Amino acid sequence: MDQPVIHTQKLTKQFGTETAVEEIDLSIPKGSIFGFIGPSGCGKTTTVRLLTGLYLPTEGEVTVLGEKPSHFSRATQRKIGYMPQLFFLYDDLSIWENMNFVASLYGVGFKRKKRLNELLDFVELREHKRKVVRNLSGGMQRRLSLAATLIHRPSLLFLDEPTAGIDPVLRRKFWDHFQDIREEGQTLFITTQYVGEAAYCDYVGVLAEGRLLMVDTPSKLRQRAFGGELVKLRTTHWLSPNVVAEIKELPFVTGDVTRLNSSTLQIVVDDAGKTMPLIMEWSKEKELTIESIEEELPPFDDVFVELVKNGAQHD
Amino acid sequence: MTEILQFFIRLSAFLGREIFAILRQPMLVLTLVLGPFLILLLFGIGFHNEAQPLRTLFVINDKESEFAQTLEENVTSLGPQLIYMGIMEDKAAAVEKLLRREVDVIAEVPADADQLIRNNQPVTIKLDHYEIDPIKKDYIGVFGRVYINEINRRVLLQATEQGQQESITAHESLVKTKETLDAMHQAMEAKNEASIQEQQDTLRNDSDSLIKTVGATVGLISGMNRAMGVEESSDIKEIEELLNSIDEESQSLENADSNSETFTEEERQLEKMEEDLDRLEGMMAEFQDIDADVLVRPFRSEPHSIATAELRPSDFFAPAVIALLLQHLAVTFAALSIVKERREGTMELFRVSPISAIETLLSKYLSYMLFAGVLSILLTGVVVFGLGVPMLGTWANYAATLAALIFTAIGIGFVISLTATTDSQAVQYSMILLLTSVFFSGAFIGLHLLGGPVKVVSWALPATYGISLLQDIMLRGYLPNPLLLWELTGIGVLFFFLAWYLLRRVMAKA
Repeated sequence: MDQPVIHTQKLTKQFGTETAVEEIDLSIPKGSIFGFIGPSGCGKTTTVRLLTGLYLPTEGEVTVLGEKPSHFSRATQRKIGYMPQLFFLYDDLSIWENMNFVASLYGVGFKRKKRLNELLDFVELREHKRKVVRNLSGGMQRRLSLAATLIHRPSLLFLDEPTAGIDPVLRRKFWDHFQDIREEGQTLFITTQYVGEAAYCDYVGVLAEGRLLMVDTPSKLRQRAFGGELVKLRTTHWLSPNVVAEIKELPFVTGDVTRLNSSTLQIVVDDAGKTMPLIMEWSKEKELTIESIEEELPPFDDVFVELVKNGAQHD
Repeated sequence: MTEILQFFIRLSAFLGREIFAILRQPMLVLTLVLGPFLILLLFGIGFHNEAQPLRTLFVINDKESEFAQTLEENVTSLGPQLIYMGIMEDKAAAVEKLLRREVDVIAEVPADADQLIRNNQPVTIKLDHYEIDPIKKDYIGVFGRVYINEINRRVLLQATEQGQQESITAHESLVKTKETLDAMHQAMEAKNEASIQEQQDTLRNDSDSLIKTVGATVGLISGMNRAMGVEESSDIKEIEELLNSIDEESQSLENADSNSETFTEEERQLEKMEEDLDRLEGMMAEFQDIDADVLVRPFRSEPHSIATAELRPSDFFAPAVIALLLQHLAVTFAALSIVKERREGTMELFRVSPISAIETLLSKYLSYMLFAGVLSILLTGVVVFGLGVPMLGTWANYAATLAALIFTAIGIGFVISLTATTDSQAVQYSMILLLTSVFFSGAFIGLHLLGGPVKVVSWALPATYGISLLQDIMLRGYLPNPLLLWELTGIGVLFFFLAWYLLRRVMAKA
């Protein structure tokens, strides 16, 4: 198995007496999208800064591309792309001039026009490339930041809230592009406040108050949030408390049964695909007419709330 | 791609960035070039290198007195820097005028001025003023000395003219003595004893009178010679010898026997005395012909510069303006550079990217050197070819001096930028440096006027070196003083390493 691109062990950063991130253990494989989700101020940016070498850890170990960030070689720095949370380019230069500036910083050769135009096409800024940055909207500035980060074709990308302030259509396009980049073998570490974007990631880390609550694939996170997969059952008639109690006792029902309304239940099971035929069979025996039965995929906002709630309960 | 090529590509990053940022502000560049040009032009038009006239009010006890009238006649013609504002008797009223700034100076003449002089005491004229500017205060002191010297000169002139007048009297005595000699000669030829005796008495009186009047005049000239440290001239000595000889001859003739049969010896003495009187007459005429003003003020000065170009006041200040402006621009641009990047987050990108602190610094040095270089060319062009300020030295020396000045100023700017936390703080530090340079660099106040410890401040400023070197190169055509040039470059190198050290700290991990 390949060595992980990012590996941390009990990574901790304190500012004075305040702990920004605490004992974070991560292992991110090459060629994956790692989503780092958490509320504002939970330590996402601090973690990115630890991984890019901007901060030194107070405790713990961290290796990125096989090197300690505090001692990145120039070759390793050339493999890393970093898009900070705040706009970081010059507002008195045009889009094109800023792109050239970043290209020079990374030592990209002067035959770069095609590459820069491609990137500006991707972020839909090509027709605005002569505009001075101070005249751009916040969203356009984010798009420019992303394009600038990709100029030198980094193999590892740290994107700190790249989709903040971007309209939903373009956000989707961004994620499609991130997935394309991933397909080319590059690794992306992306922080976001949009919990729903976790669905686009291969792995998701949930951070709250500086602590990493869990790391898993999006589907497994759902399961962990609700204790399993969710099945939504709707009948043609009212479901009596006795019937609901019977359902709870069924062997394939592994979690809560929640009444959503008089004829609808949400049932937690291990495997929705295998369980739904069994529920239908049981309903037939009990002469219950099913109007609909389906696996429910709750929005990640709900998943995140559940996970944070569970994390708090564990404390 | 080789590492060396990538190094140069990274260096080009800031070069492009700064050039584009500056080109986006053409008005700024225009102002930076035309601003100093207009300042110098206005200065050249408006600056009059003349002493300030002072409105002077005289206070005298009795303004109707003869002394007051004589004073008024004199002071109105003393010189253009004295504007005569009249005579008052009331000192308090005069002070009121001074407080209201209606006059600049009150000259108070003591009530008993003539008495003091008669008592062999000098008269002190008190000059009251209400100036707060130390330079103007000194000027009033100089003004007083100059005009009192002029008054003294006029008094001396009158005395000398009087002396010359007396020499005319001496001439009259001389003519009379010669006439007596003729009469005596005729009496001797006629052997007229009574007439001889009469002429003997007359000759004695005439020669005594002649010796006294000529002696006084000779004493005046002799005194002047001694006062001026001039060795006693042969003319004076000769006059004194002639007077002695005339005295002896007149005594001898007075004692001659009027009954004598022959007057051979007396005739010889008469001829000798006649010759002496002729000689004396000739020498006295020379003294009478000397202008009294030359006698009282025999020496004058006339400054003459051996410089090959005629310099105007604005020419002298032009190198200082160029040095000060370039230092200020380089410091300010560099000071705002890194502090802005730290504030706007660009520094975070540098810290993650492959560019190192030394590459960042070199790249920024290069871009600001280039910018300041272009600005220098434009500025020099308008100053030398627009205003006609002379350029007597070589352009290579001029360029080397500006390069050292700009390099050092950029270093100072970067150190400011790396120590300031905000834009306004960086601007304030730059302005403090400018203010220090205006006072201590010798731009407007000569370095010789500054005390020892303060000179350390002066020689820590790039502008001090720049002004001194540029004035030598542009206005004297000298080769730049290598010591000054190396010291300036040395300060620049010191600030380069300090800036590098500070930038490494800023770009290091937190």
